[in-house]
Amino acid sequence: MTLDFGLVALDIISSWIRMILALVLSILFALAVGIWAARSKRAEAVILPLLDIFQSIPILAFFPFVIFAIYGLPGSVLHNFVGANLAVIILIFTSMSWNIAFGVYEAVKAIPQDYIDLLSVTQASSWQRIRSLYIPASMSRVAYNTQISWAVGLFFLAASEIISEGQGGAGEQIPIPYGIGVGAAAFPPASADYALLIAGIVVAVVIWRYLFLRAFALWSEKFKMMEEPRDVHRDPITRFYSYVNHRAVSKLFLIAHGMGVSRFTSTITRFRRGLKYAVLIFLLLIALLLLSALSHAGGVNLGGLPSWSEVVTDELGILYALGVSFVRVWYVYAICVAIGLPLGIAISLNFKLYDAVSPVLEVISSVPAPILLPVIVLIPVLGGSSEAVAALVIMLAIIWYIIFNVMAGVRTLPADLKDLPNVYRTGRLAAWRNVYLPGALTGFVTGSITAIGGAWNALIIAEYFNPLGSSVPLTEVGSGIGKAIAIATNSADYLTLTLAVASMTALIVGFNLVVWRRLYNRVTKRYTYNR
Amino acid sequence: MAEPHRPLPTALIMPGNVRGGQVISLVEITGSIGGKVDAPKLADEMGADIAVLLPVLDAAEMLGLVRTEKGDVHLTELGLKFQKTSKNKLKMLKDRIAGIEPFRTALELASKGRPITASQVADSLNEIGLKWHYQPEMNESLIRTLLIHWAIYAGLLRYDGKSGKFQKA
Amino acid sequence: MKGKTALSERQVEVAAGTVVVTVDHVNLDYHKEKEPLPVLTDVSLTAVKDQLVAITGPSGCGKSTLLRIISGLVKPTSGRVRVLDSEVKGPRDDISIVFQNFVLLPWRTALENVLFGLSSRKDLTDEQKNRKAESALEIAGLQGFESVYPGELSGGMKQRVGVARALAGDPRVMLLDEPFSSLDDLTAERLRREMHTLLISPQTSVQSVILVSHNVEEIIELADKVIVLSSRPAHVVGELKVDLPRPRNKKSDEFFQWVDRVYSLLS
Repeated sequence: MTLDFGLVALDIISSWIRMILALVLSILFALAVGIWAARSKRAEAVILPLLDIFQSIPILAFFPFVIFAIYGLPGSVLHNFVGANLAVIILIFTSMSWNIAFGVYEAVKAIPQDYIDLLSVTQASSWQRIRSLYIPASMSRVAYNTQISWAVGLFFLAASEIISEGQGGAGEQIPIPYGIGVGAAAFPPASADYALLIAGIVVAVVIWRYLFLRAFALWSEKFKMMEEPRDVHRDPITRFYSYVNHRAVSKLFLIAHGMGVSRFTSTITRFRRGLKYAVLIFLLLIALLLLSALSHAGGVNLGGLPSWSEVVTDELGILYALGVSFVRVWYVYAICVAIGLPLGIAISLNFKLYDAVSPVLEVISSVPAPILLPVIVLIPVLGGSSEAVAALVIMLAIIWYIIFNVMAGVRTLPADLKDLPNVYRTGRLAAWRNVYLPGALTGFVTGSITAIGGAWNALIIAEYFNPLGSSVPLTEVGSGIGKAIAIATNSADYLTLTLAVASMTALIVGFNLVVWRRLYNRVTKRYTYNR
Repeated sequence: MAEPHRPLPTALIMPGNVRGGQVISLVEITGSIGGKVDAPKLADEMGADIAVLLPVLDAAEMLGLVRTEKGDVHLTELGLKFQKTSKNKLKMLKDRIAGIEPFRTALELASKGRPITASQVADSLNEIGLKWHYQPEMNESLIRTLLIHWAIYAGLLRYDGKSGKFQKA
Repeated sequence: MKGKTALSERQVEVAAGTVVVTVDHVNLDYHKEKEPLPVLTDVSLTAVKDQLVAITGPSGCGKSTLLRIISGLVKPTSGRVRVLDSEVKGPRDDISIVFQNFVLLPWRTALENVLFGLSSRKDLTDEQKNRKAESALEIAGLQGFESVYPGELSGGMKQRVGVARALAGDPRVMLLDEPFSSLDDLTAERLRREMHTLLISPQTSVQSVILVSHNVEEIIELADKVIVLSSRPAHVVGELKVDLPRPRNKKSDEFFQWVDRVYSLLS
């Protein structure tokens, strides 16, 4: 068997180019929107709740619309290679930018008033202010949040490349010829080429992370407004590596911020504003469903709206599928908690274990779960069960959020507090019950919010996977909203697609606002350690 | 016209940032330097800024522990007794504290036997125009802190941190 | 007072003048990149019954580490620590510690925090533990605050919970690690004034107190004996018996002379 190094390299390079373009776009967008929101009260009132909503919606579900709008419209000038790539880049951009924008907003908000006064005194123009103060002040947050956004973006890149592969089934291939997602879908699973691809991705991720992203973060430190004490006596290499070790987990901790937590710490008023949007979406959805029910009862066909029975009870009926997926998301989450919570705590309590394990976990976690699906299907113990395959794919996509957030939470507890069970020789049970579990709780809730969000996104790949558009999909669960979306996408049924995506979004956003945020506020009030 | 004396406070209101411990320190230090001292010297002895001292002084005066005359702080008879008590000094002042806001309103609300929250006390005080902070959340938290730091020490109220509710002691 | 008899049990077993704590030629090296980095070299000291011994030294010299060695939390590279006649081989019931930053569990009430300090006491029933914890809070001046969470307490009150937690288990030896330095001046002043009478009293089981502090006035106010450490690697550069009568007047010339004596050893 010969290995196609060239093809694998081309796949990785193509994907990276898309990622980099999306990143540049994200940073520009984030700077513009973040600075605007931070400096204008009126913009703030509109932008923040919008970012808030956009950050928690299942972005992947919107991909078919993006493809359709940019590439799919008949006669469009973008109905070509450029348009297809643009669609993928925009999707990645959507997954990356909110997080960075929040970072910029918070950084600019945190600039001491003295600095702003200084610029007013010198009568600096708006552009001078932006260039000489706002952008430099945001730089370290941009670099920091970029590391998070990159990991998130990689998942969406892989998923969107795979989906675009699948869409070609209707006769016409979407012109995305190379990419890690394309490779994963096209190489035979368990082939040497497939293994080479996975290895290549790991190498690329490691190199990129440690050479570029970290260098960016180090460089941006010089823009920090406040001088932090730093050990200057060590040589640069030691400093670099100790930096890498320290930041490894805290960075992944912030993935959570990337997908929807930083704003959780903010005020109740924003909560109320956000709630309005959620209610609006809910009402819209219910109106649509009622309309379809009425039209069915009256025997009127209103432009092909699905009937009530189809919506509620059919195996692919939207509400039914949504319910099945809801259960699926939560039981997989429960498994992840059962493994991730104790594991994360145990790792962080042991310095040596922590140093040994965290870089390994970091690398494993950075391989996007969708890429692994073709080989997961072949794992013998799963017995070909599509349910088990879906569960494992979702698990691989989200368990890291729990592990890393728990680890970061426990790590930030002061050493004396962790020593307390030792001082009073309390025994293991009392130590976990009184110190470690409550100490991990804030990180755990943060991670959970992110994990559940990630699970909904992963559904779209995990529930129905048919990259080559064959008559028998590689894996297909009985029912689920992800499957409904995938099938509707393949058959270009945009009405069902709209209803499915809207109902899923409404459920997630509503759940976020009503359940998670309250829980988070409660937990941070008591379970945050500050002396 | 002669400089008028500082008027006695008509509504007795506890400043939001004053704690029992500070009043105890003030009385003890005044006592230790002979029971009469001018305010700047007192601030110096306490190692506190005069701006920090003034509200503490107001509180001590409100509680009848000191009198201020022409910038001098005198210990009253109650103040002397207070200085000499060794344990649970604030219990001695139970009745006086009970007459000061927000404790007065809290006790009135709690006298109906039902546990009360700081936010109920805040609402009730709001009706008579009493606020410690313009932001409702900050106002509530200042009132809660005052209740905890004075009313519990004085043995007027009990507090259950789990429910966040106060009860008559 | 509730629990008084129980608290006094350990008090009677030791005669006046008995050496309670012995630190015997203790060395500590950190191993960083293979090379041993000496932190403490040949440190010896004793604390006799009813004595408050203060350890001071330049910041970063390892005085807090020495305290952790005495507590059994950190193992010395060589040397021994004894309490009465038994060697300290790890954390134990009769040594307790009060931390600079209180180290309370924010998710537990004041009473629960004190009870946590009694977790290892299998010899006590839950009711006995409750009684002990309540009485420790009362001794520390926090009666009525049993069910308040640390977040709702002031710094001084938090440290009182820390003291109550350390007292509840009837320790022989009480270790204080910069216990006043996170408090504002007024609060620290008040707590200091109470601390000596509170700890060295027949009301509690404490036989010796060891205080680590960088605040020389605080040391002269409280200590019967002062141990001065050098900068790293730390060794004992001076030992002073402070025989000022109590209560000590911080404005007196004598007081200042003592302060000067410690400063001259420090520099």
